[in-house]
Parts: sequence; C-alpha cells; structure tokens
Amino acid sequence: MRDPHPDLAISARELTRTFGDFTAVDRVSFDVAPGEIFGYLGPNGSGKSTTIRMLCGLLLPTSGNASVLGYDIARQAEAIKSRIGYMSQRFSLYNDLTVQQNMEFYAGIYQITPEERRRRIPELVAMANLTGREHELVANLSGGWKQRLALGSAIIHRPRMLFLDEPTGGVDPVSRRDFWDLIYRMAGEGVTIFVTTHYMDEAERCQRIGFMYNSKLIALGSPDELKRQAMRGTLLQITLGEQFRGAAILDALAVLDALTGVHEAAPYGDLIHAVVESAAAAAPQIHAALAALGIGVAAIIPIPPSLEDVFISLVLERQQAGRAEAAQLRAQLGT
Amino acid sequence: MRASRIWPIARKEFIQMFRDRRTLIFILMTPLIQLLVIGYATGGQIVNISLAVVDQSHSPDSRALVQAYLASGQFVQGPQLDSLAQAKVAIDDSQAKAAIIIPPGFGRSVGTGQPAEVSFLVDGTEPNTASTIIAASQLIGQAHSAQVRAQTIGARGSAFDIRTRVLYNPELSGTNYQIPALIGLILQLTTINLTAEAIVRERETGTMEQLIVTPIRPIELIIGKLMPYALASLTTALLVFIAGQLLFQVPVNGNVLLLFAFMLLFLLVPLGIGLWISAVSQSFRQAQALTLLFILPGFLLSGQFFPIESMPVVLRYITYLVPLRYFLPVLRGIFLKGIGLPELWPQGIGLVFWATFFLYLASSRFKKTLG
Repeated sequence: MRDPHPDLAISARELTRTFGDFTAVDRVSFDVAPGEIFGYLGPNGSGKSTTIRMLCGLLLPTSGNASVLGYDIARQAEAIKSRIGYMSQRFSLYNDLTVQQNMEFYAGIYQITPEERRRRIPELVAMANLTGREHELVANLSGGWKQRLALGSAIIHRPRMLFLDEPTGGVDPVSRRDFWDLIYRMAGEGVTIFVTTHYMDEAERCQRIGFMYNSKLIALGSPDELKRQAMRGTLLQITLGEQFRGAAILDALAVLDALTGVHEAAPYGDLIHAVVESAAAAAPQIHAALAALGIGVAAIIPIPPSLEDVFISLVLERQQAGRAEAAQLRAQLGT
Repeated sequence: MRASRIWPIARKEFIQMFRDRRTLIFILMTPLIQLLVIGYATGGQIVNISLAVVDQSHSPDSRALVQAYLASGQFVQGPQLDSLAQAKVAIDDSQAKAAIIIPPGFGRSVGTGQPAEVSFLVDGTEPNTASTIIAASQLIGQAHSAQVRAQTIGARGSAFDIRTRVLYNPELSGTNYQIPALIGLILQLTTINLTAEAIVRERETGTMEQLIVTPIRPIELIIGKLMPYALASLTTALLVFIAGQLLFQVPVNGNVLLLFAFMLLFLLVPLGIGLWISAVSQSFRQAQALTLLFILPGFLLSGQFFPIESMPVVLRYITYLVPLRYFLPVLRGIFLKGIGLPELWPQGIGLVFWATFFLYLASSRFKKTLG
C-alpha cells in the first residue's frame, strides 16, 4: 500500500464515543498539522484517553470519523498501527528483560530488518543515555531512564506520528526537561506529536492545545491565542498589606466573592488572583471593600493569565459552575 | 498471521521464564515431589462394579451364582457375553471392570458334587478398585459355594472354586496406577497456571496496552505466548514419565507415540482454560482463584483418586464436564493395558470437544478485551 500524503496528520470530525449511557467523547473536531506538537489537555475522566484510543485504532467511534496520517481510523486501523508510536505513563517495558532485549522485542514486533536493527538500536540506546548499560535489567533503571527507553521502544520503527499519553508522570523535573528536548528534536525531524498532559508547564510547550472538559473540546488554539481570546475578563493580582497575610486572606476572599464585578477569586501563595469584568471598574471597588473590613491593600495590578487561569475561566463560563468546582479543578490540574 | 511476529513474543516469554529461576525450578520440581509422595491414596467403599457375565452353562445353578454377586450390591449387571475373549474386550473398552466366566459343565458338576471351577477376571489398572473386587469375588463366591453344596448333597465344603485372575497391572501396584495419571494432572496444573499468569502479568504491568497499539494480531500474540508454556508443561510431563520409568519401573504396554499424540491433544484444553482465565481476570489474584476453581474439581472428579464408577449418579454425570476424566483412561489404558485408538477414540472425541470449546471461548473473549 502506498502511503497517502495528507495535508493533515490528524483530522477528527464530530468524533463521538459512548459507553452505554455515558458519552466519553462528545462531537470532538480538530486538525493537527504534520510536524506539529499538539497538546491534549483536561482533567482525569474528561475523555482524553478515549480519544487517543480511537485515534490509535483500538476503539471504534460511535459516530463521526477521523483520519490519522491519511488513514481512516475505523477501516484502516492496521495501517495506522504500523505507522504510529505510542507511549504511556506506565512506560510499558519488561522489567525482567535487559535494555537490549526490550529493544529487540519491539524491533521484532515491528518487523525491523536485522541490518536496520543493528543501526537503530544503538542509536536509540544512545538517545536514552544508556550506552554501556545495554545488558542491565530494566528493573534497575530509575524513572527518567525508563521513560527515555520507553520512548526509544515506541519509535524504533520510525513512526511519523507519536502519541504520548501523560508521558512524564512520576518523573523528576530535570528528566522531564530532557524528555521534552527529545520531543522537540523529533518534531524538528517532521514527526507529529500528540501529547496528553495535565502539567500546565508542559502545555505551554505545545504549539497548539485542545482542552477537554466533560467529554467536550472546549478550547482549541496556540497557548498565546488562548490567553488573549479565551479568557473572560481580566486577571488581577492583589497583594495585601504585609500584616494581613495569612488568616486575613480567607476573609478577603469572602469579601471578593460577594462583589458583583468579580467572577472568581482564589488564593495564590500569599497573593490573591481575581478574574474581573473590567480592571478599571473593579480595582477601586476591591480597594474600598477590603478597606471597609480593615484589610490594607498594597497593590492591585493586572497580569497576563497563565493557561491554567484560562482553562478555569473557560470551564466556569461554560458550566456556570460554583467556586467549589473551580477549586476542585485546580486541584485536579495539579497546581 | 505471520510467524515472524510470533517468534519475538515466544522468544521474550522464554527469556522471562528462564529469568525467574525460582519459579522455573518450582515448576519442574513440584511434579517430581508429587511423584514421590503419590500412590498412598486410600480407597473407600467400592460399589457399582460393572460385571460382565459369560454363562456357558445356562443352568439354574449358574444363574443363581450370578444372582448372588448382583445381590451383594457391589456388582451391577454388565454385558452378557459368550466367551472369555469377549470378556477381555469388554474390560479393555471399560464396559466392565470384572467378568465372571462359568464353564459349560458347571450345572452338572455342582449337581453331582464334583468340583467345578469358575473364572473371575478383574481389571487391575485401578489397584484400589481391583483389590476390592478380588476380595468380593472370593467372599461372595465361597459363601454361595458352601450354600449350594449344603443344599444339593448335604455335605460341608465347597461346590466350586473361584479362580480370580487380575488383568493388567497384576501386581496391583499403586504407583503403576497413579503415575500415568499424574502426567495428566501435571499437564493440566502447570499449563493453566503458567498461561493464565503470563497474560495477566502483561496486563498488570501495562505492557499489554503497549502491545495492542502495535500491528501484532491477537492470534499471533496468543500463539507466541502459549508456545513456551506448552513446551514447559510437556517437559515436566516428560520428566515425570522418565522418573516413573527409572524410579518405579512403570511399564508402558502401549504405543508411546500415541501417548504423546494424546498428550498434545490434551494440552490444548488447559491452554484454552488458562487463556480464558487470563482474558476474564483483571488481577493476578483473580486468576489464581479461578485457576483453583478449575483444578480442584478436576482433581476430585477426574477419577484420579476416587473411581468414577463408585460416585453417586449425579456426580458421575458431572464428571463428563471435567476434561481430565477423558485423559486419565487414555494414560492408564496406554500405560497399563496397552490399548490403542480402537478403544480410546471416544476419549479422543471428548478431548477434541473440550479443547475446541475452551480455545474458542478464550480467543473470542480475548479478542474482545484487546479490541
């Protein structure tokens, strides 16, 4: 079969999957360009994994359709499987096999020729910084090494598309940075990356982001676009007077919550972040309300929102959700 | 299906199997220890022994003798036959466990007080059953004999002699009886255990998730994974076979090739069961519990220790659901009786049925969980 040369690495249209009464993925549409790093975000249970499973050809959509590398996910799953790489946070390696044996195993499964194997395996072992440790058991490797080795096993057949399902779970920050360097390098070589994560700093590294919430794709765009467009209102950072930090913050939050011009207020370390309709109108209001309670304010300044602020704002806007739900969401997002 | 994708799987399983030396030794040693321990099983009350009758005398006396045996409650009426040769065939085919052969002149001899001789054949393959039959044949026969003599000529003594002869395994050796059966038990135990564990482990560690996104097909995965464990089970069975020869001189009276052919056929059953268990279990613990569920009834209802003939009727029918019960007569038949396909084909059909049933059940379930 000759490979099609599609303009899009992934094209999903109204992709839907239900399990009984539950709709896990609800009419999701998006495109991913070849060579793009696409971040797929959302809290646990929002439908990320179900989407990946459909795109990898493991699960049939209930309705809608999608193509990966030009192949239809429902009808050409086999063609997709041999051309994609997949890696999950469980680092699917065999602990009781050595580094080399793990590589050989996946090389065998993907039917890599012996000549190619002799070239490719040392290359990937080097990528994982494991040269010289080929005959060590994987069980003895620490998290970061396992992660890079898992990536190596997932790309042994030079896939043009790589799915990463929360690839950096349980890995230290330095290893995470190294891992992302590898991802950038692969994208530079033309590999399309589809990555799910709930780390916001990782989301910032993606070229484009889709945000899933309650089975729906509620935002789509580059991190900058989303910060500029998707945010409802303005984000203010409120610094209380030095003697009011600590317990007073809770009193202050209660006051802010009651103000009509404030959509949301949340503690942020010693500071308070508040999303307001208009900075010009809200700042004096806040000053006055806090002063009435005897709480001094050192500064109120508008700041650019983080992706996290954007997503919480989006969720509240859609769901008209209470503040308790917003706090829960923050907790789920891992901050 | 591509052999080139099956091989890497099989190779990996082999490496993993040999990596875990302790388990490997355990797998190989346990059957040998069992082999040494076994044979001391106790027998209970044996009833419902099917008795083939060769009555060449056709006299009231001969009918009275047969009636005496049936009235004891230990024997039930088996086929009515014409010759000693037919009686042997009936025992070969397991239609009867014993046969009584009453010679043509029996009625006349008894009537005139001349000594008569009655032959009694006993299937010796199951020593517990056999020794009970031997004792019963003598006790019932002699009692009847004394009664007849007293009635006919009013004298004490016996009207006839019962000559009991044991067919197959004449020394009634427990090891001869148990070791062939042990091969079946071991094939079943190790195969179910290993197969179920190998796939559940893959699911628990998350590597299954990785495998299903590769182009490998479920059938390739299944075959690749099963091959090494089938081989391991066969190896243990072979070890028991050899140890049985060396340590206990268990005779092999039948065709060894036929024996191995049946072993391979039987192996498909526990492979299917193991695969099915692995497809429905989410955890190792669950798989172990399910394995026990299959092995325990197999152990008790297969006829390994408790003769199926002596079980209550309901239980006897239930044994048809136990695949091992088809294999044990094959093992004992080939080892001790030296019989072949003409007698054993019904067992073969039973095995083919259960192998097909479990493999089909397992692979359809397995595909669903993968897909």
